[in-house]
Amino acid sequence: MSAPPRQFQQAAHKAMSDGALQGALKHLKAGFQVKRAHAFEGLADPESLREAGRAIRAHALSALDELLVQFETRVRANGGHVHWARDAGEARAIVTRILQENGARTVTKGKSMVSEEIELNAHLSRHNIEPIETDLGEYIIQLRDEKPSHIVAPAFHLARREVEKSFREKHVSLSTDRALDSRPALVAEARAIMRHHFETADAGITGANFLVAETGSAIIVTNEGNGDLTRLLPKTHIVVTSIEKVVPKLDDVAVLLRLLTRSATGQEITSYVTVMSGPKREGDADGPEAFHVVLLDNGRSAILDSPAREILQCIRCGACLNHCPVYGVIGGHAYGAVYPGPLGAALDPGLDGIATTYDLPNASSFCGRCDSVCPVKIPLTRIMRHWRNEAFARALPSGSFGFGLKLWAAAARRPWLYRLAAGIAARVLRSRAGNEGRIRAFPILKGWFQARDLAKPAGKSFQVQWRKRKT
Amino acid sequence: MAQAKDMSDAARAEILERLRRGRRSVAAHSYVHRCATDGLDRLFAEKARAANTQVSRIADVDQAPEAIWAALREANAAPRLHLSPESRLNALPWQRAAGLTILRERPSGRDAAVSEADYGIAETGTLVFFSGPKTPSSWHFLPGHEFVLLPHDRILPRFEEVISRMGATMPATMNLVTGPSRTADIEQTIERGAHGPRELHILLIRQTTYARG
Amino acid sequence: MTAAADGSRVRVGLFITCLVDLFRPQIAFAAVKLLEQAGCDVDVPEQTCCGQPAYNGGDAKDAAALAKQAIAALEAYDFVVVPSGSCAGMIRVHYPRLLQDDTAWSARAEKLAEKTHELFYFLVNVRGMTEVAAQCDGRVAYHDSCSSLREMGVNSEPRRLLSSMKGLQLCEISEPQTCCGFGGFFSVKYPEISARMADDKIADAKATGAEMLVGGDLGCLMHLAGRMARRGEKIAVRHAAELLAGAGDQPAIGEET
Repeated sequence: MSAPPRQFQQAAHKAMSDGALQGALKHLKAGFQVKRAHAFEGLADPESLREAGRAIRAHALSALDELLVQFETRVRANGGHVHWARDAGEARAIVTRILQENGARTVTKGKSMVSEEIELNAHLSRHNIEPIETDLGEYIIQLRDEKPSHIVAPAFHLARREVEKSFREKHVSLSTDRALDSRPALVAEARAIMRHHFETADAGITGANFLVAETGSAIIVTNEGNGDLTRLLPKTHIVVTSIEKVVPKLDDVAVLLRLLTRSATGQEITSYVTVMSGPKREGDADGPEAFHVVLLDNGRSAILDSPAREILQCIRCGACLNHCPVYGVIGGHAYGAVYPGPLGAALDPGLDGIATTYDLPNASSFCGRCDSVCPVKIPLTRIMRHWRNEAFARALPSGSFGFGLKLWAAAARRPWLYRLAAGIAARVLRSRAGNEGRIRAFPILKGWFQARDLAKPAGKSFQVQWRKRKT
Repeated sequence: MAQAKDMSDAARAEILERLRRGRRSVAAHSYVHRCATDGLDRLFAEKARAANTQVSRIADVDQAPEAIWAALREANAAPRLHLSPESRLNALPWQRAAGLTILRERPSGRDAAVSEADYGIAETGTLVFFSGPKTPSSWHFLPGHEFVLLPHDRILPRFEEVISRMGATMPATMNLVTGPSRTADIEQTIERGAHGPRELHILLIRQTTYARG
Repeated sequence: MTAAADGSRVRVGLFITCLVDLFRPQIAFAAVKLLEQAGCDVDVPEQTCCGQPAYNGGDAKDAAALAKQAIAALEAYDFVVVPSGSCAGMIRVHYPRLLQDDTAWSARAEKLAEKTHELFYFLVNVRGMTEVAAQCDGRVAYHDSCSSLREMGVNSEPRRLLSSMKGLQLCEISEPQTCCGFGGFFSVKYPEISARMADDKIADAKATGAEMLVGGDLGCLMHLAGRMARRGEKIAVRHAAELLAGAGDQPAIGEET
């Protein structure tokens, strides 16, 4: 699922020279960061709200199996179906089977990161079912055959010109001399095209932002309304989601919503929040006739019983991405995994294994900004450190760095050896520097010298000077 | 079909077994979000307007037809309004809006439609709609211009109050609608009318009960 | 906690940090001077490394061993003061976590954590220092390290002391919350990303018109000074303690011959 190791460095390098991406990343500061800050300033007691969010999610995780069983019972009582999938393959098979049984050929899709995780679209296409993304950002990247670069704003990495180019290339039935050089024109075109798909689709697939055990509900949170048109108009509605999203009560969602929308887009609430509790009831004017929920595990149950447990509290707001200085420099694609940024660094090793994902928790300066903005107080850096422990234990990426660390620690544990080694290192570096105050190149710790000079060490360490003074 | 059920059952058993190992003892929270409890209609109007919603006030629900007709004229929109056949708004005096044509089929993306909200949430200026026979849920997403009637006495402080008034059975769909449809997916700049309505217009009704059942 | 106002003296164990020990001893001498001005009896027990490289590198075992060594060396003092937000954070925030399941050491780690402070925080909030006698002419920008901000609660304290210096114009960079890209071994393992983060921070500092950049963490400062030297930028970089102790005219980081 993830990019092979070492591709991260190359992908990051490419991202840093990508002018369009770098221009888009500037929006993080003026946009997402400012909006979130403003929204939280409007709260009388933001820290209590964050603590409530953490407590709700932690409490839900503490009895996850019970809540899921309760959820399943309620969904069935409402007339819906619940399916369980251990991994991506099982989830894809379930969705495909339901669609085939209903003779579905075209399927509209609301935004679902879980469906990205299981690579659903490609699988459906191979089975002659056409998936059509309806969230504007997802639609744009589907046209371009790209992956989302941000969990809330999938087309974040693109400039308007690139969107226009894709629309002209793919909307071939429209007149070539139409004006498309403004955002309103692009949105209007997408709206018209999508309306046709909404009305003709055989089935609709959405994700779920939350699942509610006491009511058997799945909840979607959007600004566009695409998720609603996706699941209201066709006969069949499938919710593709994951097991950790369940909370006990609808009141819990009321609290979490306040955190989610402020943290994601700086809104007090999004245009649409929809609580879906089964197929249409007798007498309802519209609504799906069949309601299916596919619950995906894909490694989460193992994460639950591990030191990375708290990453399952995540409500997918994207605030950690928006505030991460590394994400702010390389963007989402460079991570080479479904979930980028600090979220991905904490979650992807649990889903895909540390062997292919060790770069993610390592490519962090541990600045802690993600921890400070997470609405449910996930200790992201602590979880990344856990994955570093796992990587170290497996000598990933190679033994040499770990060996160097152990050498340093062995010296540090023996003050006499530390002084000796430090003295030798100082002499070597000083001779390398000569008369200059700094060293430009050195065969050890080459990564430092690739980008920086190093100030030369002191002739005598502090402790040597200090002891001399004292005698 | 049976094989698929067996697979799902096997998956279910395995997943639940693994999840049991993740059980911990964790206390529930006791947070209560504070919100004003009076002046709700004013708070509602302020929040709704902040979310790009037009808010008008009428004294009595019977004034709705004329108010909507006037709003459509002011917006230079076609004098046509979609109204669900089952809605009790059919009993309003539409004849007073003489130039307004009422249509009872599904609206398209350029049309105007009217419905009534089940509740309003003052904290965020949000309309609450339950699915049922009255108005199809999709009508809150299909038209280009949505008009919604909301009596003052249906405005509650928070989502929590709405939940506490709901019975044991959930409707199939509960929509919380705040402002028109929007997207910021292109260059992080907001545009309206991504898929749902471009315009949302709420008529707050002072009279607390509908004149007609 | 004893304030200088009541005249009582306290015994401070100074944890100098390995970077200071090896690369820039004058920072530790400046810290000693400031602490003595604040009425402290300063001792520097034999010490090596706080263990943070091992801890963040995934080697919890060695980190725990180094933590115990440091605790044993430091726990007898009234206070432990560190001229570095990140090493202070290691002792105060992370030692208790690292040793929480170790029955013999857990309480000792907690006790030490409680009395460990970053240098400027200690001088201002614990000893009540409000000004320094040293002077400095020119525009100076202050660089907050992430651990000072987020682990050790340092923000206004160094600014307060710097502002008291005659002739000094304190400049504020626009994004103190954004990491400079040091992050320990992150700077070595991911040099291109680290350098880009440094460039953003340097651009921010340049935009203030500052002639000097000072901070409380030598790691950040060596990373920024090293990047500026590579790029030919002219802002002088020092630890704020050097300036406050009156040693601001000595060669800046990377300038010693």
